[in-house]
Amino acid sequence: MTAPHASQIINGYLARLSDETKDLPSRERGELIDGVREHITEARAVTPEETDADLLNLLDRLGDPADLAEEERQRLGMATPRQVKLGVLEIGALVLTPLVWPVGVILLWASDAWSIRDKLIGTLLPPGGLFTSATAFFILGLSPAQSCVVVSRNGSPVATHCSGGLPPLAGISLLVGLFLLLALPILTGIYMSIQLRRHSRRKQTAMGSMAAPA
Amino acid sequence: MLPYLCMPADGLVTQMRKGALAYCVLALLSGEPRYGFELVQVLGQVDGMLTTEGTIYPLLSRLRREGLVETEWRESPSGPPRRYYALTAQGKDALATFRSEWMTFRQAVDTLLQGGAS
Repeated sequence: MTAPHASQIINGYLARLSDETKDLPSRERGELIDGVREHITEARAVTPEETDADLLNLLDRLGDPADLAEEERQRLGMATPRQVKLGVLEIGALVLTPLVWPVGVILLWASDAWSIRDKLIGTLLPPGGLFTSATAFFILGLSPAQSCVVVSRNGSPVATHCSGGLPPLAGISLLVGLFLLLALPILTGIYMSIQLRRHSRRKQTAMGSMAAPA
Repeated sequence: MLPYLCMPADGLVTQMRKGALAYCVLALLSGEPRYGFELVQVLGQVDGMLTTEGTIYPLLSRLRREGLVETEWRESPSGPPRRYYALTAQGKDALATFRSEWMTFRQAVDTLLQGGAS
């Protein structure tokens, strides 16, 4: 007889363990998760009339996923992932990197909230941020794409002479380039905020486990 | 040295327990191979040895990496296969060394704690 909410309880626990061990080498991570999964299966096999409370007690005895991940890190001689504090610096970096690129990038590198990889993405992907895009649009808007002179005789037009303008292919690639200039800073901003949320969530779970000492 | 001695003993005991746990596991495996949950059950019968059951798995993983134990999957009479842990020759050596050092250490501390150093 299985507990009424067995799968929710167990999957929730394993999902948290998976989340807490993201920074571990994949082999060790897999071994830990397999071991814990096997443990749960074996422990349930020796509980004849299982209730939700039995399961919760079983998982309590196993330990908090954050503690197991920390134990694995210690056994591997790994450092605990640095805790991230969200402040003016992070929000500034997030807002300013797409808008005012140089200032945003300085804040981005000053913050601990992103990994080196994220910082490089933030630095390299938006080519100057939306500021550059706006400048590019502005310059393009000023330069006439095509100028035509209408030759008229006795008030009625007889010929049109056009000069300048871009061949169609160049025009399209220019449009694509402008679109990328516009889209990349925004996409990078979205990516950075997702990474920031992931980091801060990890921090919160780490704090939660510290509040309840083993 | 005073600040160290002023520390609550909890931290020290935790560290000692953690260090000794590895050798207790090796000792449990010296008779026959066992699987993870079985080790947890045996260790659980000894009060205060294993406070957080799940921490045995990082330990077993490390013992395997260090070559002190080896693992083997075996069919279980009920349910999915189990990963069995067995002592290697290197593990036996490590256990023998710890055993003799532990005896000396335990006697030394016992003697001093009981005030019988005269």
